[in-house]
Amino acid sequence: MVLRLDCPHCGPRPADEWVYGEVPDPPDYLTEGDERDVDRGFMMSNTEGVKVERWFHAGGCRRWQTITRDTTIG
Amino acid sequence: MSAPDHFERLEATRIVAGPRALDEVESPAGGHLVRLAPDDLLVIPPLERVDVADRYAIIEPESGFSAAWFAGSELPRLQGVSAWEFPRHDPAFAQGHLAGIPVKMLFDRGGVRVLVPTVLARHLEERLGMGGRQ
Amino acid sequence: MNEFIEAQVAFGWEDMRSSYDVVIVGGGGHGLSTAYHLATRHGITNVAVLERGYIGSGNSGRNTTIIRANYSIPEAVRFYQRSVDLYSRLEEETGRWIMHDRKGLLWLVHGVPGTRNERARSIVNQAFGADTVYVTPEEVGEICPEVDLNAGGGEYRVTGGSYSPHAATARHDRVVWALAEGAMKLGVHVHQRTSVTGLLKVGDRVTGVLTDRGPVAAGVVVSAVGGHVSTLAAMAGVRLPIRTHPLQAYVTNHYARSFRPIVASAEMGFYVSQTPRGEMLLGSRIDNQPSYSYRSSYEFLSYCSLPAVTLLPFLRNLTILRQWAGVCDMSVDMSPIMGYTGVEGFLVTTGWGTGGFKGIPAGGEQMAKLIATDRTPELIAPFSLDRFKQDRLMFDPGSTGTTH
Ligand SMILES: Cc1cc2nc3c(=O)[nH]c(=O)nc-3n(C[C@H](O)[C@H](O)[C@H](O)COP(=O)(O)OP(=O)(O)OC[C@H]3O[C@@H](n4cnc5c(N)ncnc54)[C@H](O)[C@@H]3O)c2cc1C
Ligand SMILES: [Zn+2]
Repeated sequence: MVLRLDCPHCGPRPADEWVYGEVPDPPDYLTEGDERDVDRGFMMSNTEGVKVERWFHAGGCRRWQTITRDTTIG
Repeated sequence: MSAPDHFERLEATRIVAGPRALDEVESPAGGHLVRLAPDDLLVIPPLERVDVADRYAIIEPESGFSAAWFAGSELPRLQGVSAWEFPRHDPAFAQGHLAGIPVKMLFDRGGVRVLVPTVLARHLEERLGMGGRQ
Repeated sequence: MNEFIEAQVAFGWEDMRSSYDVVIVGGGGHGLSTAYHLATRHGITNVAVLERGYIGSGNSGRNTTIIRANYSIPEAVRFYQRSVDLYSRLEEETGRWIMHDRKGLLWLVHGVPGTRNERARSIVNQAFGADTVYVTPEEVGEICPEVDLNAGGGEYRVTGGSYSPHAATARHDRVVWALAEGAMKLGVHVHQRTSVTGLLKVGDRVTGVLTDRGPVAAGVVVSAVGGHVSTLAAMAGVRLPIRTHPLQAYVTNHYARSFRPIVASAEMGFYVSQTPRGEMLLGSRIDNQPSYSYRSSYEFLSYCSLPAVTLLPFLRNLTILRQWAGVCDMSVDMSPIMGYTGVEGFLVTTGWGTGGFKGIPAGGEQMAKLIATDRTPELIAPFSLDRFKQDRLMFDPGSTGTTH
């Protein structure tokens, strides 16, 4: 089955229509400027579970949407 | 004829403005207001002049879409090449991929008017098995 | 399944000790190869591989088994060529038949930019030890007569490509079993159905693992958990430039004729080879969404099949039999990440993404060398985690795209 993301404007649409956007989330313990920058640039939480994400609905409203998803299911 | 053989260039007006200001825009007689996004409105046919209660509104002629009308008998076939469900009642607007190509769909009077970015119109014609322009 | 694997691997399945010199988390190809090389090359045998399912249940038992060295940057060509060489000796070395079959890889292009890339790739390959050559459309037709050079008259007419005679395939679970057995023969422990649920720490240093069968102390802990690496690394306080994406594949029913080379088109987005059973095995790009889900999609079948039947029309007459997915640890620059993490006692071998089957022998060999000598071997120095801090990314057009 295809993964569907629920667009608040357009409704549930298949993942094919969307572009994923990584949200940089440097952890608080990184206080040194360079370390935070490296983290922002490259590192990812890659959460195995429920996660709030940003997706661009390229095939529909062409807006960034905030979507909550369980990465172990979808 | 129920199946069109090509998409034709569509003239419209595009208004990008605050959602509340867009809620107030009035539909031209016999025309459509197509809410592409909360802050993005397509008006068909194009408006001569328009009042938008947002001084930062961007109002421009939009000629990037092409359109074609499909009668109700064509709907099952279109639904078959779409991975999301069409609205059950009309008039209604929906957007998403049709045969893998991003489209805007205006459901009305049992049929649907499909809008596609003109650069992709030829591909959609091909994928929907339309004859195409001669 | 476990009984079956235990029967395949003839050596003792022992009880778990409370402490090992090296604990490797993940019984995929990379974990087992690291253990195998620790034992065979360095005499380090007080080693445990902890696997939460059965060995090979991750990507190492789900992949399309392409072994190739035709990468596009020198560091990668050298590393993968080493792995190609080790693979070709693995049967002799382990005494196990892994069905290694050197069938050659034809990498097709459809236009000027691709043609230019393949010429460049051939030059880089030859300079760093891989036997890739540029081929014209006529030569493509000779190597693989099934290819429709006209691509059905569409826009993907074949304009050339590159050919890598060294490329091979092997039976994936036999590779896993051969390495497990080779390591266990020398005293390494492999514990299946053993899940690592946490890490033991003294200060910032990792000193062992918590498992669903109790704690185990370790001189060094190696993460070799494939797509699940971020979850384990987070327990050590290590953040990685990794995102996990599903990758799917499918096989068709039996094709009655022999189809020799592996054929790939990164531009069209698919690759295909024939299994020893005669099935056609097809793959394509990763799923868009980062995810840990193993579900298969119809979309994949369609975007993989359309280009495939366009270029290889005989595929139209076959039927899809099975489809599956694995979850891949994709690094930001699409190259692997091996070695130190900045946290003492905690090493990673990751970023294998969609292409780590081919790296199993050399990856394990080099990780073992790093552990035994406590120094990063020269061959994998470019693939260390600190490259991201040093702005020394290893983007490789030969490792991205769709041919794994
Ligand atoms: C469809 C597909 C096609 C591919 N095609 C190719 C190809 O043609 N050529 C190629 O070179 N590569 C290919 N790859 C990539 C290749 O399969 C992987 O890069 C490689 O197998 C990675 O090996 P690994 O040992 O790092 O990970 P894995 O084989 O995934 O092993 C990791 C193991 O860790 C275990 N584990 C995870 N978490 C825990 C825990 N907490 N405790 C204990 N155990 C744990 C898992 O159960 C798993 O068995 C493909 C991958 C897929 C999915
Ligand atoms: Zn939308």
